[in-house]
This record gives sequence, C-alpha cells and structure tokens, in this order.
Amino acid sequence: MKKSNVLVLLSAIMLFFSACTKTAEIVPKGKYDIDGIFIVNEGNFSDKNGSLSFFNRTTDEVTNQLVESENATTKLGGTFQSAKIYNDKIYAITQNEDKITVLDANTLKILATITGIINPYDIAFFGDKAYVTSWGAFSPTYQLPDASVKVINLTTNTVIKTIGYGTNLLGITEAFGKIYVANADANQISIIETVNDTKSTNIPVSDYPARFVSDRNGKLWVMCSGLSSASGALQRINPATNAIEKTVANLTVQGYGYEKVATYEDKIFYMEGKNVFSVNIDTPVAPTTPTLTTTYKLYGMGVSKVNGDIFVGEATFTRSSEVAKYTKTGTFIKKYTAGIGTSTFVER
Amino acid sequence: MLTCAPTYMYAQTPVNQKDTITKISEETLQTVEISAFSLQKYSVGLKKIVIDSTNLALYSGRSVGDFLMMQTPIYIKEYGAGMLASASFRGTGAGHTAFVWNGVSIGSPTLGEVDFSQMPMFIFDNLSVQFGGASSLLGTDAIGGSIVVEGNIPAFKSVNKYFSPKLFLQQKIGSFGRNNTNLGFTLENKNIISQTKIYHNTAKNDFSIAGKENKHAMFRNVGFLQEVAFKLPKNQYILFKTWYHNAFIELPNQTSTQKDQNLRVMADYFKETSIIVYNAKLAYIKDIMYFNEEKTQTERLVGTLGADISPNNKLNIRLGGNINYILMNVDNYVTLTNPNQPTETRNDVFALVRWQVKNRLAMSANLRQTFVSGFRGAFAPSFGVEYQLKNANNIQNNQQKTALILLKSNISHNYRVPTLNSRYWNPGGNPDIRPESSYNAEIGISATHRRNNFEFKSNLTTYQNYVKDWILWHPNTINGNFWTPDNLREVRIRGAEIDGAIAYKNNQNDNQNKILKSAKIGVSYAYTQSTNLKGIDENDKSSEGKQLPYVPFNRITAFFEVILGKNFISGQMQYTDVRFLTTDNSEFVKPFVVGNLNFGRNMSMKIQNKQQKFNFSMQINNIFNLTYTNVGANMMPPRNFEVNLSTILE
Repeated sequence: MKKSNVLVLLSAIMLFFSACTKTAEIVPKGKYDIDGIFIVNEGNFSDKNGSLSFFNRTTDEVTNQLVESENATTKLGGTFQSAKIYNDKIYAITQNEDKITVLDANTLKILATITGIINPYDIAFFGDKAYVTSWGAFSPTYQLPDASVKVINLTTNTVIKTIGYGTNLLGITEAFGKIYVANADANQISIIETVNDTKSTNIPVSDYPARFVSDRNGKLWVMCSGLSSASGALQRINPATNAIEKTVANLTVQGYGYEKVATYEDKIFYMEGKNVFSVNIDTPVAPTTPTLTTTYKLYGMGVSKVNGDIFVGEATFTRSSEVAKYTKTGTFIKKYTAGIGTSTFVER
Repeated sequence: MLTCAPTYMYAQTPVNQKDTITKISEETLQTVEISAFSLQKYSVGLKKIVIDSTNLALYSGRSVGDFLMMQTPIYIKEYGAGMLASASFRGTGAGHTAFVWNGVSIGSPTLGEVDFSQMPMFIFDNLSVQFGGASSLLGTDAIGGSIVVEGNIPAFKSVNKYFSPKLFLQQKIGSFGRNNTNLGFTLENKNIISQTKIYHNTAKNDFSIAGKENKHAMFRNVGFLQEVAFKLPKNQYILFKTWYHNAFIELPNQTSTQKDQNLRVMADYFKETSIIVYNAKLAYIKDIMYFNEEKTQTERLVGTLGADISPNNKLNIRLGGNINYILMNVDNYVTLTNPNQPTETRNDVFALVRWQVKNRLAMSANLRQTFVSGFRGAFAPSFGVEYQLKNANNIQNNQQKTALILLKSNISHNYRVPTLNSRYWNPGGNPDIRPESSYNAEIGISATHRRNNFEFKSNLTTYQNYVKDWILWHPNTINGNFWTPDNLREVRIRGAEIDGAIAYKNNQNDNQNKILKSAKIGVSYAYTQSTNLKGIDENDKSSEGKQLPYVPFNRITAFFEVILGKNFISGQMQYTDVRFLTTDNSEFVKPFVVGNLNFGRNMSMKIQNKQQKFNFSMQINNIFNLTYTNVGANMMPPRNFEVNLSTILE
C-alpha cells in the first residue's frame, strides 16, 4: 500500500470521527434536556421539604428529589412556591428559605442563589431582568407592610430595585413587555413598566386575584379565588388595552393555594376539590360538568403544551403526592408518585 | 406510704446529695407528715422511673424536655433549642403523654399536647416518668406514658424552729446568650411550711453553622411558684400552690412570635383518720397563648374529691371523682351565626384497688369512667400484678448482700378526649369526633443486686399498644379549603426497653478530698416499632405497614457520674435514630448524637457560725460539636458552654 493511500485512509477515518463529533453536538446538553415536564412539590411548611421532580415523556416515568440528587449536599428546602424556566435556567422559589435557586435546566446543577428577598412567591422575566413578588416580613397582626416587587439583574443575580406595595402580592407574569402583578388584597392587577421599572396603572378585578396564564391569542387570564365560597372568577384581560374582556363569575375555587390555572388550545383549565374544569377562551361560561374527577382532593394541576395531557397532584403534605395523567378530554391514563404537596407543572 | 421528702430538695447538687440524705434520716425521726396520697401504689405492674435529686439539680435552668431527651427513652420532637418540644412516648403522638402537676393534667386543652420546653425542671421537687397507658389512674392522654410532677409532701417538724429560713441562689451563664437565674426560699415552723421559687431563663440562640446564622430564635421565660402548707388541728392539712409562667418565643428563622401566660392555682386539703385519708382539691388553670397577635385562651376549674382507704395493711382502696369545667375564648370557635364561646365539662369517677396478696405478690385493679359534655365518655380499666421472684437479704460478717428480682405485668384500656380544637375549630371542627382509644399490655422484669458498696440494677420491658380512632386532620374534600379532624388512624406499637446501671458508693463518712465517694454508669436502649395499620384513603395505602413519622426505631441514652472528694464530673449522651417525615416513609431526617459533660466542685464556708454551701460547675453541651437537626431543617446549637454558681444559705 502506498503511503498516500494510507494518508487518504487516515484522513477518511479522521473525517469520519470529526463527523461523529459533530453528531455528538446535538446530543442533549444534559440529563434533563429531553422531552418531559418538571414537577414542583411545594413541601410541608414545618418540614421545609419542597422538591423538584421530572416527568420523562419517553419512558413515561417520574423521578423525584432531583435537586438533591444532582447537587450532593444541598436541599432545595421549602416551601417551594414557584418554578419558572427562562433562558434554559430554572428559577426555583423557596419561600421559607427567602431564596431563589437558579438551576441549569438541562443538568439541574445549581448555578446561583438569589438571596435577600423575604418571603418570595412568584417570578416573571423581561429582557435581562426578573421581577419577583415578595411578601416581606409579616407584621404581628399578619399584615404585609413590606410586600413589594423586587427587580433582579439576571446577570449578577442581585436585587437592583424594590417597588413597594404593602399588600399581599401573589402571581406575576409578563405580557406585551409589561409586568402584571396579582395584588390579591387590593383586588386589582398592578402593572409595572419595564422601561423604568415603575408602577403604572391598576386594573380592578374580582376578589383575590392569584395566578395568571396567557392563552394562544396572547390574552391574559387571571384566576381570582374570591373571598367566600362560589365567588371565584376567571377574567380575560387584553394586555394591549388592559381592558377586561370576559368574566366567568361565581366559580367555586377553594381559596389560597388552590387557584391553579393552565391552558391548552382553546381552553383554560382550573380545579376545584376533586375536579378539573375547563372554559372556552372565546366564549367562556361557567362550566357545569368537570373535565375530570379524581378520588382525592387536588392541590396541583398542569396541562402539557405538547399534547394537552392534564396532570393533577394530590393534596397531601404528610406523604408523597400522587400525580395522575389524563388526556385533554379527561380520560385517565396513568398515575405516578411525586414529592410532598405537588402543586404545579413546568414545561419548556 | 411514701416517706417524707426534704423541703429543700431543690438545693441539691451532686456532692451535697449525700449530706442531704444524712439530714433526712436524722430529721424523719422527728417530723410529722401527711400520709402520702400518691397514685404510685396503684400503678402495679407498670414501669416507672423516679428522677433523683441529682438529676433535678443538673437540669435546673433547663426544661423537662431537655431532661427527657438526654436521659429517658422518650423521644422529644424539639423545633430548636428552647423551642416547641412535644413528646413521642413509646411510639405514640404528641397528645399521648399526660403531664400531671399535683394531680391535675396541665397539657393545653386546645391543642391537646404538652410543650415540654415550657416546663422548667427547677420548680419540680419530684418528677417521675410513668411508662405505658395509665388512664385509669391519670385520666385523658395517658396513652404512651405520663410525666408526674409533685410538690414535696410537707414534713412538719415536731419542734418549733422559728421559721428557719433557707435561701437558694443559682446563676448560670452560657454561650449564645444563655442566662438562667433561679431563686428558692423556704420558711418553716411547726405548723407552716412555705416554699418560694422564682426563675428566669433566656437564650438568644444566635449561633451559626457553616456560615448560616440561626436568626430570630430567642426565648425567655420567667415565673414563680409559691407553696404554703398549713398543719391544722385534728390531723388536717391544707396546701396552697400558685404557679405563674410567662414565656416569649421567637420562631426560628421566621418572623412569628409566641407568647404564653399560664396561671395554675390550687388548694389541696387532706384529713387523716386511722384508716382513711380524705382529700379535696380545687384548682383554677388559665392558659393564654398569643401566636403573633392571635389570642387563644382557656380557663379550667378542676375539683377533685377522694378517699384513700386502708382497712388493713394488705389493702388500699381509693374512691373518688373529679369535675373539670372549661371556659374558652378562641376567635375560631365562634361564627357570625353562632357567636357564643362553647364550654365543656369533663367529669370522672374512679375506683382504685391495690391488694398485697402475699409478701411477694401484689395486684391492682383500677377503674375510671369519664363523662364529657356532648358525647359518650370512655371507660378505662387496668389490671396489674407484681411478683417477687427472688428476695434475698443477707448480712454476713458485716457484708450486705441483697438480691431482688421482680416480675411485672399490666394491661389497660386508655383514652384521649378530643382536643377543643378538633371539636370547636371553625371551619373544620368535627362535633361527631370520638375519644381516641388504646389497649396497652406490658410485661417486665427488673433485677437489683447489692453487694457491699456496689449496686447493680437492670430492667427489661416489652409492650404492645394498639391505638385506634387516632385523630388526624386531613384536607376536607367536600366543601371548601380547610382541614378537618376525624378518627382515622389505627396503629400497632411494639417495643422493648432495656436498661442497666452500676453504682459504687463509699459508705465511709469521710470528708477527705481525694476519696472516691461514688461512681455510677448506666445505659438504656429502646426499640420502638409504631406501625400505621390503615391508610386513610385509597392513595394512602402507601402508608400502610409503615413507621409513623417522627418515631425513631432506636434510641440509646447513657450517663456516668463520679464524685471524688469535693469534685464531681458527669456526662450524658443520647442517640436518636432516623425519623421519617412522611407517612409513606419517603423522606427522613438523619440520626443524631448529643453528648454533654458537666464538672465542678462543692465548697462550704463558715459564715456567721453556719456552714454555708457553694457549688461551682461548668457544662459543655454537644461536646462532640456535631451538626444535627431534630425536626426537619431546624438548626440545633453546636458545642456550647455554661458556667454555674449556686449557693444555699441558712
């Protein structure tokens, strides 16, 4: 064999390997860069045992305690109020720890922790900033004089501004370049301008607005849990005009913590007791029959963006919650075991 | 009948214990005492530990919870140093340990549990731990066991002593802002004995572990106890007791605070005849708790009438009853439509019999029926037997040899009246709730061998406890977002306890410095299997057959104590196994070890012709400096130090 032939062969082999390296680059960026849904388990207030689970759609299995298993000596803590994904990072809010843990969404390794926020609740993002609702410390009469929205620089992971409210703030979201804050005690949505991070207008809504979801038309829905039974409401806001376009009133929502809301195609889903209900986004009316009914009280709910599968979590804080998967029309598919007090489901 | 106890027992420290013992024996000869109205003689077949004065003194400045954790098989679920501490006694829950103060149960009637962090050891003259179910003797809550605290039975001197005042002062200072001040004062003459105790305990608990600071974890409690006993004509006695306790607690790493105010007032009357002791007791107990600004208040009026009859030296019979009237003032017990605060009456009648069948055989049969307003009460019988397998006592050539082997057994049915919260809390309170019920059986053997200066003691006890109708709060699934209690849980507890101790005591009455006066070493081990038998719903099947949360399988405690001349050193250690956080045992808290060391010196000084005693000691807590948590992620203190100075002035 001629030398040149050997060289050709060698370069062919090298080419083959370099091609292989190229293929390897599209290999997942981490163990969790796969098709699935993150599951938020709030944990028990006194045990502070919030945890993150993952539903792998391919293997159809749930794995638990992921922050602990990927980060040796660390516990996520509690109560795990909210997790949102932004720029391939998970921002996990543990309220009792006064902490936001920033995780790599692909590896679940801890990248940073954001501290200095007392009783954080929920988070929204715009550009290189995040906005966190914070209750501040309780006064002796359970008032929240220091409740505020904290503005965070996502490069340095530090608080750069505090926008004070002094009333109970819950969910927070971004729409049309503005930040919408559920100002629960004031029965209004408070808007923050992202240009200068100042308070803008307030939208009066039904009693106790708690959580948001944006539908496929870009409309913003707010779940108001109401102050007495059957006084909950779902309201549709047009973020372009801030007008309330639709109100579905007299819903039974079981108060603080139970006001979960999700969307798929033309439906908004919410839960009550053992039931998940849905309303149509264009012609919303109070539903009379549930989409699905479980055998236990619900605390968690989420709907997959991919196929509309409905996930529910059992209301239990003294042992692992059952998570069950239903089709978008409410047919039971499978049940799984997640962590303590499963509350929300987060998908990329 | 119980022998008299010294009225100044609180003043004891390891070294002067011996002096006190000598004193008692001198003085008993010339004292007049009330025949004990104690329940101990009826608890035949049950395991009990009487805490000696050395331990009471060692833990003055600490809570009963601290003591139980370090020195008994009882697991104390403590939310931080000096924070809420509830007991799991023989695998039961927080509400299943009765705390009985001079015959009255003083657990919180709203929560139905005892916070052992709010029971300062200093003010109790006598403390005993009663294992196993004892509702027939002590009423509600005595399911896993009971803590019985009693004031001294007054021993009136036959010679008038012009009030012979005695003052006890103690000051402790320790790490993380710990500061304990105790003051005791007694006065006594032929007809009156008065005892005053005042305490102040505080700690900042501002320690850091691995850079993480334990914030907002301060506590402070202050209180006093005033007891006066009068000897009246015709063998009558009356005792008045007032105990006021005030506590302020910051919940660690939260912003909440708790304030407790407890007032306990009692008048206790006795009349002795040749075969009967009559007793009438009247108590008023007011408990106020503020969680932040939210106030919970209950007032209780307790009246007891009893007669202890001893027709001959083989039979003891106690007959009686008590009434318990509870007034409530809790915001969540009323609604707009029903604005009246509820009241509750809990009455008991009881008949207790102890029969000394033979010298070596004793039996008891105890019955109690309780009546609670609004539902059918519970019936609590118990039967006990004790048999001395061996009882040898030889004195040969001035050498003493004794051996005692005792077989014990007891069976009982016990109950717990539902808490006021579970009946009246709005929303969720369940008016149809039933008392919790427990069937307890135990068998034990204890051996004591004494040979010259050595004593060896050991106990082995096994028990079974079946608890049903255990009340659990669970999410209401019907209407609204609140939790509601129901008689849901069913638990079978099986356990074994073994302990052994060896003591050496030099009987030579030699005050020389370097002589070994006494030495003791002991260890105890408890195995507890507390199995949840029934899931509360279909999904809760995953909890069936599992260990209950916060019940460790294994606990070990150990101690030693050496008195060398005027110096003493003692150490205590405990090991607590894994505690599950969840009913399906999916999460747990790691085991932990805590060891403490205490050493010091007793001194005496002649002041104004009287020998006054002083004690100086140091304590090192968590001597191995181990990082641990007891409950969830609540931080516990690293190694820390205390310095103690105390004195008795006559």
